[in-house]
Amino acid sequence: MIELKNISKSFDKTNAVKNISFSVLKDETLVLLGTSGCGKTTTLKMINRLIKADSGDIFINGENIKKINEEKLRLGIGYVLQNHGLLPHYTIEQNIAIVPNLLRWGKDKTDSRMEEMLHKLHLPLNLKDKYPNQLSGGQQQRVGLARALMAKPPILLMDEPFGALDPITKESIKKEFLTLDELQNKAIVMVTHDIQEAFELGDRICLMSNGEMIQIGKPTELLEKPRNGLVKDFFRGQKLQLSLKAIEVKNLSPFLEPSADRYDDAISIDHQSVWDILEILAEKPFCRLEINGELKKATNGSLMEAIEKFKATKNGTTE
Amino acid sequence: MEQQNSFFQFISQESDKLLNQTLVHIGLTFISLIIAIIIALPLGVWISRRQKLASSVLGFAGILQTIPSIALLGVMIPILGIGVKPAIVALFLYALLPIIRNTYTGIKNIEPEVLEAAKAMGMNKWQVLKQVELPLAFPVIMAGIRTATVINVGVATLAAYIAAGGLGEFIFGGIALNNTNMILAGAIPAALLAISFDFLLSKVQRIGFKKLKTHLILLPVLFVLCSSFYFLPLAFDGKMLAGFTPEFMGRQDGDIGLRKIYGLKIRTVVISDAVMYKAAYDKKLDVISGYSTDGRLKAFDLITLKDDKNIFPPYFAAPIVNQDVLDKNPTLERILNLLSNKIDDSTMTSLNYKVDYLHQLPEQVAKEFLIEKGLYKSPRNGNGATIKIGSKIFGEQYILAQMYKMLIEGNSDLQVETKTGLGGTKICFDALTNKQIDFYPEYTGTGLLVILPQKPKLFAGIMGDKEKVYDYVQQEFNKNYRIKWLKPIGFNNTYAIMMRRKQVEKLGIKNISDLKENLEKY
Ligand SMILES: Nc1ncnc2c1ncn2[C@@H]1O[C@H](COP(=O)(O)OP(=O)(O)OP(=O)(O)O)[C@@H](O)[C@H]1O
Ligand SMILES: [Mg+2]
Repeated sequence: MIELKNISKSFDKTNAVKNISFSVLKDETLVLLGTSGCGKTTTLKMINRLIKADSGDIFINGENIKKINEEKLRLGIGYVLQNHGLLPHYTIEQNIAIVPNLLRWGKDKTDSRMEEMLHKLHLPLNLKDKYPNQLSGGQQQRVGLARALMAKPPILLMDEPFGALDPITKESIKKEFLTLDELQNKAIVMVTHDIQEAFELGDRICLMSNGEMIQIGKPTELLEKPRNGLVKDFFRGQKLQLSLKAIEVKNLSPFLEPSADRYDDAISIDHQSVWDILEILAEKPFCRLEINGELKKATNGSLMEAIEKFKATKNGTTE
Repeated sequence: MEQQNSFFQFISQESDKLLNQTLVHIGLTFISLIIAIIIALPLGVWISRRQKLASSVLGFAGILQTIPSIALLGVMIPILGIGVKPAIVALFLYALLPIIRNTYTGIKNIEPEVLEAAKAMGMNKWQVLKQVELPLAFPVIMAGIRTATVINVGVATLAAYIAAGGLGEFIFGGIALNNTNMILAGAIPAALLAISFDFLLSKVQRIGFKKLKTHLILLPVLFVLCSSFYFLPLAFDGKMLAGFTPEFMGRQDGDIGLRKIYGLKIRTVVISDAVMYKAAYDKKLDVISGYSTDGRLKAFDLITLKDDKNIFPPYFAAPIVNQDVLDKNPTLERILNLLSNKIDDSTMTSLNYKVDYLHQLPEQVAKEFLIEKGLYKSPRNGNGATIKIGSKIFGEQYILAQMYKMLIEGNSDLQVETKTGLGGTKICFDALTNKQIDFYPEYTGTGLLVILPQKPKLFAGIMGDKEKVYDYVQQEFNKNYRIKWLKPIGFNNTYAIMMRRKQVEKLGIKNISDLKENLEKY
């Protein structure tokens, strides 16, 4: 879907991005992860030509973006800015309707789609006539997302979409984010410097440092097979937590004891990580999980054992 | 109360003129403003894209802004002549800076992230400009337009100097004629115009760009409507054009006398003395009201028409001095009288010619003259009291002031300070009565008709006689203001009607009655 080939960019004397190549499939989320100033935003903006690459080529569906009309290219790419980037003189309604209006949608179509988006993002309808500065940070962020998703673009670029939020709001928006159907079947490139976030949201992670791409791969790959010391350093101190987040509980199903008796409090499992379950277990000695219709019992100890067995068989990769 | 009454009387008497001047004033302001907006807005947008050009464009517009208005109008005349064109161009130039600068700043102050967002959504440059930059910069741009409007309403008063009309006609006429009502009749409407335009535009500014969009078409319409006011009063006809100074326009012994006593009917514009002669020479004007000793008479080859019905009273020049100052400095009177009867009409004309046309310095001309007459003495550099000499704002007065300075410094230990260029009669005379100056050269006719309270019947009797006028003003000034008229300098700088020599010869006009007949022929 998106393919970067040997992309470089420098500003005056800073080499912001050095020879980066990667590709993103049409239904996967790639996270650009790295410390501040390592060139993440620059890389992202080159994809919708807000910044022009010095060298290298970018292809979208096999077509070189240099050959696509700038505005047409951008109309097909949703973009969520680092600080929401809502137009201050437009109401929320007008902000969300920007792309539909540029695409010359009719009013009815725009209105019904807007209502749908506001609903999906848990935004009250009465926000429509307010101005961005009358909204909370979390609401602004969601409006920014709604605006980017209005015209159902096949590609979504997000620059630290949860950057400016407090941890609690951040958690709840991230949860919504994971479950939002609008985000399925899209090629998403997301920028963050938050390692936890990268592991929770990314199908693959591209780790950058100083404008260079150090390693790209699934979260567990980066953890288990770091290419060099830099990658190791990056995860130092968080490795255990990250690996627990990288393993989905359902994969441990074969190694967990079944629970004999049925209780209503069983947690139904789809994409939860081991970490999520451990957080629940911090408050009670055991819990029951319902995985693919089977009922399992889990305690801290049994989960750890299951992980060991899982790693031994699968050699550390999920699925 | 009486003052107020007569002010309203004045307004109602002159309501036609007032309406005309107000409309012209609005027209001038808005025509120049529209042109300025049309040029400055895109220019401001353009330089916001080209950082390198910004400082030079803003710097240039800034320099234009610092040129004194009168000087700017003066510079326009050789290029554009007199009347509407140079006035509009000058006003336009003044309006440029605030609009360019505010457009530039307004756009530059928009958060880069907002612009990036707009671009990223897929807007093209034009859409970004129209939907984001202009609306966000709108309040700042409007503030610039407001500033420009207020500046223009103010500067447009000066348009009266170059025959473009407007409320300046009353203001400057009033200053020249010492007529407070006339000044107020110009100044109050001008101030009201400035305040109300500023208020209206502040409303527009508050409405904001978005809601305005639907009414946006109305705005230019309104502006054009205001501009068209200008052309309403211009529906004159007539083959000759007269240019009279604001002062001349309001005087019994000026335009009023010409109409009443000669029955002269001629299309007239109001114009500053500074540009009138040149305009006559350039055939922009046919008839002007000049002064009989003006150097430019010689320079521009103009002919004085004979005043065959004696409407212009004698204007013999003499220093008028505060009596207190004479009492305190007993030598002063003798020194000032050294100049009495030393300068006749033709001498004064040629002295004026040197200053006004050959651009020699008044000091130099004064010194040469005094040396020639054997009156010059090197300054004693004494440290006595300081005598403050005033002068009105034209060459002859500068020369006389310099002569008096040299005489005082050479013949006494008094020190001298000159306050030249005090505008018209009113400003000079007020300065004198308020003791800001000690003396200045005044003309008997001006004393009689401008400064003293009007007594038409009495004046009619003495008008023709220069001795009687002198005696009368001397007496009255002493009685009313404790100001003393010293001995006359000799020349008679009276009003005169002038035309180009060639035209006069061609039409066979010798005096003002001939001119009247000629005008009525067709
Ligand atoms: N317009 C610009 N002009 C000059 N230098 C720039 C510009 N934009 C970015 N840079 C530089 O390029 C480098 C990479 O910047 P970039 O914005 O891509 O970093 P980032 O990884 O997004 O950082 P952060 O996490 O802080 O947002 C930085 O050193 C930055 O200073
Ligand atoms: Mg960034």
